[in-house]
Amino acid sequence: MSIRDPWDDARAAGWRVADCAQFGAARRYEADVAIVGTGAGGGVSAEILARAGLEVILVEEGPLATSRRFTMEEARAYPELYQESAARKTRDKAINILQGRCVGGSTTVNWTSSFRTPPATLEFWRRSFGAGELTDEALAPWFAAVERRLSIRPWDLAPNANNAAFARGASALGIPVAVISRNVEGCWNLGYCGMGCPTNAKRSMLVTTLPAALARGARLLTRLRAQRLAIRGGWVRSLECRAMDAGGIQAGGAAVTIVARHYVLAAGALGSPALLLRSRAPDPNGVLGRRTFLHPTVIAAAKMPERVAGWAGAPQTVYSDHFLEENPIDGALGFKLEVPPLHPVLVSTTLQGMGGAHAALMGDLPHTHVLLALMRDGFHPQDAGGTVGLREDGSPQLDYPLHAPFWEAARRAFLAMARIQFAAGALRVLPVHEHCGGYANWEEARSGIGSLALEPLLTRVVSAHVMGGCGLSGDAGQGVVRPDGRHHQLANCSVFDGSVFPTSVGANPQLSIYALAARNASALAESLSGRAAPALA
Amino acid sequence: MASRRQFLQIGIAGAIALAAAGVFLLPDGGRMSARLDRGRRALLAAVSGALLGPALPGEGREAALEALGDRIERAIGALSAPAQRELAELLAALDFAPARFALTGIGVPWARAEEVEVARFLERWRASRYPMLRSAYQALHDLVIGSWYAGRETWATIGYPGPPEIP
Repeated sequence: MSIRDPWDDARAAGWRVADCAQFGAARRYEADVAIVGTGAGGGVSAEILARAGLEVILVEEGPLATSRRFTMEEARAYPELYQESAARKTRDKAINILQGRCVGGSTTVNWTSSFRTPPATLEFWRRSFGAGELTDEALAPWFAAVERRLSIRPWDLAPNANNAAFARGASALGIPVAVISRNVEGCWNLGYCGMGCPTNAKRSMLVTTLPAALARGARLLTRLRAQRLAIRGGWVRSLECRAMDAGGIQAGGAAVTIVARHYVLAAGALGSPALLLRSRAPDPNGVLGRRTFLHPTVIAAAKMPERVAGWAGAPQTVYSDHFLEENPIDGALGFKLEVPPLHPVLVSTTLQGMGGAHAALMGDLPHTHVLLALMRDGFHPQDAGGTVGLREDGSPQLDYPLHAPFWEAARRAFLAMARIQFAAGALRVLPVHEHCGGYANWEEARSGIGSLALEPLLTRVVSAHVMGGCGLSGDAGQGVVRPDGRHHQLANCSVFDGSVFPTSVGANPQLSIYALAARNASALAESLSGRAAPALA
Repeated sequence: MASRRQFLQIGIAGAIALAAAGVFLLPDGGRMSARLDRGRRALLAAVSGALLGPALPGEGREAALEALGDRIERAIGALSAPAQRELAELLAALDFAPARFALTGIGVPWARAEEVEVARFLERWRASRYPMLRSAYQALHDLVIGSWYAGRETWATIGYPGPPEIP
């Protein structure tokens, strides 16, 4: 069976794509709209703006890699497709962050889980952030349009053994689980979504909206870092960029200037606030870069009697929101339960210990099941999340202190995960924590977890969902952008990505980003073109 | 076995050495060169031996460590510039004899260090009360162990069949 790669015919179709690392001299471009970033927000915005007849130019720091290059090897995928080689960390190194850096952004490497923004989250944004226009009814058509465009629907094959163990354990305890919706069409159920889909079944931006925008004349500049917006008198006058060097580490290449009528930031929840910080954008209320959220996640491994082979099959197909719904949204932190794919590098770097103990855990890989608890951060009154700042070289650095309400939730999560894993038949349960050698039964786990010292860099904490930093609010004193994504102080600048969320989403964020970007980019298209915006394909 | 008091002293002295070494020991502003010198390679081989323990093959151990060293170099080269600088500082400190002794208690060059001694300092860092030492341990853990299991030749030892064939 031959696999179609929409990029095979790019040259023949006359798509305007340039690898800026090969530029020998400075260049200057003009467009109606410049979009920084090609992930969930940038991709959807590009299609809508290009369909509206506007001239669009896209800037992407990462490389163009397509299905022909997706060999399903971690050694290749992490350095090529992820921010900082998949080793991006918070300032104190306590949280490891997985984020894409390639054409398609995180949508190229995510695990395809798709959830509409939970109504309770939207209600909190309306109540606390002056986002009265973001009602369930107002957003429903945008969710529906994106779900249709990206083939988002509940996974209809059997879950893989890793997801099945979770479902079995939870059900035995009366904890409800449900099936995850995924953005796939004709999925081969291989399990390698995190390394780039080799069959183009995943409806990422790489194979949907970006080709659609390019087919309508949009221009894509890859391996180009947006350095700063030149701002005068409340207007962005140009976007100053530098090409990356051949290795993609330093931006030491050609200077590229882009002049546009409007500038859309979609560089992700660290990239967009960092670009505004480097540009010294107006921030009269000191909110830029603040309230950055991660769904900080704790992990529990288990040794199962049966073969799990957690590297095979769609990685995330079952979830439970039971522990999100136990407490009020702004009370003790709730958490969502899901499972991850289990490939050798991801598992070996995550599991605790060294030497013989670590080697023994790795020897059990085929029988290993892993659960994740993703904390819903940003709602508790003491939980202001993290703050994006700049390193000396201008790169973003996230300071995210883990506070007492998080650790209280982490302990509850370890207990909940251990109970579920034993109920699923686990022989041994292992919260990922440097002091923990594993537990043989629930009684041992209950007392052991009860006395674990929960501290940074002892408990392994990870994140694949970076949100906030350019928070939306109807109140200019509280937000960086308005609920329609327009910057409160800059007349011709919008932010259309996960950085606009004023709290975490409380669910895997891609569909929330797609839908809000579709809504806000459509309004922008109307205002720039003077005509009603066309729908997504 | 060192007493708790000695551990504390090593911890504090080590933290100071770690900070100071970065300032004094880095050539050309701390940029990692593409290749690690022999001292850094010996240090990483010693640390790899202890971190991987029985995961390393008994036969052909030296060759496996040599190949791992090459993979670690490539992994470092793919890190962000700030991460490369921080790692360069850590390796510089550990390769500077006085700092090595203060930080790890190891009094001989890395090439001659016993695996149990190396394992002992890594275990101490892993559970240290100083977050900086714990983060240094985790940096070495992830770099070495991730580079090891990135290698196809290790997959059979953990029952991983590798990616499926796409016809």
